[in-house]
Amino acid sequence: MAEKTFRGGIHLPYFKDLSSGKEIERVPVPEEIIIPLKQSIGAACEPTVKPGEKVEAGDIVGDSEEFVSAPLHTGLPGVVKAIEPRITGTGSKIKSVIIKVDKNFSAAKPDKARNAEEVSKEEIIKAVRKAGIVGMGGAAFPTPVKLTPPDDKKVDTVIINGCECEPFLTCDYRVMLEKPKELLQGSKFLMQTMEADKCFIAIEENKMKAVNNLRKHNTFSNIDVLALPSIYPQGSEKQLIQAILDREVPEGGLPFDVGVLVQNVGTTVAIYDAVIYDKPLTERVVTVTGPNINKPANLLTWIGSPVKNLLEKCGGIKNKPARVVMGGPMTGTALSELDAPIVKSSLGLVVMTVEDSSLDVDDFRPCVRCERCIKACPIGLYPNYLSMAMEENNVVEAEKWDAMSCIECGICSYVCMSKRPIVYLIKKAKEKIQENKSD
Amino acid sequence: MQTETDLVTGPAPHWHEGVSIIDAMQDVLLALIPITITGILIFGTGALLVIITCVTGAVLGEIVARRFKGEQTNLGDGTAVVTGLLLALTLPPTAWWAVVPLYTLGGFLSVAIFREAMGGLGRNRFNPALMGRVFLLFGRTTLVYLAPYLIDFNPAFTPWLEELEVVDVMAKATPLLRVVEGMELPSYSTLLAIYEGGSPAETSALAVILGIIYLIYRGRISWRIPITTVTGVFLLSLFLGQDPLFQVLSGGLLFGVGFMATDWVTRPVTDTGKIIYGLGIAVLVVFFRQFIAELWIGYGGVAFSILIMNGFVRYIDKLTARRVYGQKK
Repeated sequence: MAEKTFRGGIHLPYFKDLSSGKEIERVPVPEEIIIPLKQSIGAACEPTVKPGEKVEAGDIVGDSEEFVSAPLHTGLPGVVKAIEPRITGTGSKIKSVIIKVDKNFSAAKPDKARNAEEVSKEEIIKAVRKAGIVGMGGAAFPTPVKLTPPDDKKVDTVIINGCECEPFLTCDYRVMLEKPKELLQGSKFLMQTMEADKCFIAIEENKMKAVNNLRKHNTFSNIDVLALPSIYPQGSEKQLIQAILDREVPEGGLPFDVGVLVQNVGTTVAIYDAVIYDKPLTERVVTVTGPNINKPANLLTWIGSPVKNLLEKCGGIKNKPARVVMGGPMTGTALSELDAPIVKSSLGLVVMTVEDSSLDVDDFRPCVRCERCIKACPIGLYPNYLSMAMEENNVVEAEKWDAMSCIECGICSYVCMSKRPIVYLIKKAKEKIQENKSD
Repeated sequence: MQTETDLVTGPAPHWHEGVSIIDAMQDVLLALIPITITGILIFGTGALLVIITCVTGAVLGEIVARRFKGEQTNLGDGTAVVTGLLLALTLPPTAWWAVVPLYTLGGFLSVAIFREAMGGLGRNRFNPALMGRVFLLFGRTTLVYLAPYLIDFNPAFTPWLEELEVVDVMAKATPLLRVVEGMELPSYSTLLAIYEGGSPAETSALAVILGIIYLIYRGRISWRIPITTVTGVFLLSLFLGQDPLFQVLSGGLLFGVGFMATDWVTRPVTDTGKIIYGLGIAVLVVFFRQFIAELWIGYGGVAFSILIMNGFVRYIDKLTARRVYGQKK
């Protein structure tokens, strides 16, 4: 049988060893937590608390009436210090609830656990909605929306995404090692909700320990743990569906259009916690790693903790100046301030040296049509023509070359011999095309 | 204390594979070594002289043109040197003194006009080395008519040249010229190993094939263009009742399809496009050789075929673009 795969892609150096052996540990309690009121795709939340108000761990601090949204909770007790715009990982300021943390608290024990056997489909969706769960693999799409597709869309397969194809990051890997039962039961809940009869847990074969660990714990006959080749961007939803099921999500469509639900490992465990313990999404595992951090670690972090707290816990940055990337080196964003908080979709902090980071949006060389980006593009685009069009600000031409189909994996810029910021230019094209559409 | 200056920002991706144009150009230069060596061995100092003048001209071309355009020179990427060398290898190596300024000018124009003025690196539509070659061969013919005294090698006129080994261009006719003139044809093995006629690019098919295989192995060029062109020429010649192997091995065909038609900037980037482009070149080459050989051989039917197809590349790309993920099959 041919190896399951998708089109294009490349092998990347992984650098997982820096943090893959580090057990998940708690980050120290911060002085204050900053909860941006927009952490997911869809509508922003409105604050439900006022400055000066006392909050307990697990309280809702922001919510929205919109369907595509997710409520926000505080993971720590304290007093609402302010509601004001604060810098976030995206580089822009977002209205946030700032809570002065009351450090004298005892970790609340979950009062009671539900019996996994007795939970109904409706209860699962309700619990997930209430817990404010969004995609924790980076996309931050509100999970309840994914769990309630239109009636004419039948989902037959659930894919749990444990590929973690971005180099350096190991948070999903650690969760797969340390929470196998929760992950498997969470997957079961997803199958139950979608009325799917098959589930694949997809892991790249550079994480065989996770594969074996899950296979060992797996008691469900209709859940398969798959070891896939380590090719970037295996963990991209569309590529994963193509690799496992040989189905293609139609242009502009969503996975449920081809009968698939894809959920990230961290999200699936969060769903388990929400269903069984009624636990809101107030913490997540964040990998702090990279060549330029002293002690890499996998940290269980309260949502809203400032980045600098995590870096301090890891012994600080080795050499300055540094590039601190929230997310992976291929798709993450470089932080402009270390006061930015960890949000629900923050996978990790990768601290790079200045030498590692090299793209310059103002000074790059001409495209020599070497084809490396064309060969590597997992979508089948012609990034060379896209970037050349955008060099001349020719949005019409960029749209003709299918700019809107770009998944922004970054592979084109990574391999570009002329160090062209291709994916940056394509993102610009997409923004402009969207603008033109809405005009 | 963390200040903002301690942080470097910029768009994703935040690292790079570290492969640059110079790596590819190094491979091209390596691939050209066997041809260069056989060229120098066969033609001696004449070949070396041509290489030096063309490369110097090409480098000067980049410096002058970029200065004129107000852009940074980037000789380190090796593109100008490669263009100069490619040009040199397609020219008849002769120590005829007038070639020094002429070939320098050829190299210069290849880069300064045929690359930099016609869009700049990556945007020129026609292969600069081939454009330079066509310019030079036209220039040479023009000289034959306008200043024949420069052609008649006269020791009294240029005594210092006696020291140099002189290869008369016309005495060592290219194999294809022999066909036209009805002269005895060289054997396959001669063509494959060493044939002392024409330019270094035409002397040893084996050296050329070695270079092409290396570039394909290194992933710098695709097999599609050389294979389709060679197959096309072979089959069409067979169909027209010519000796197909002779047609493939002789003249600049192999060098042209391996090193000129595969030039990144001027070839299609789509897989299907490469096949169409390769076949187009094959049809044109056979056409030129079959029907208007007398007219074209002096200038190289291969060069013209490639340059003509260069003009269609952007259209071929648009027409043969692959299906994007998620679009209808």
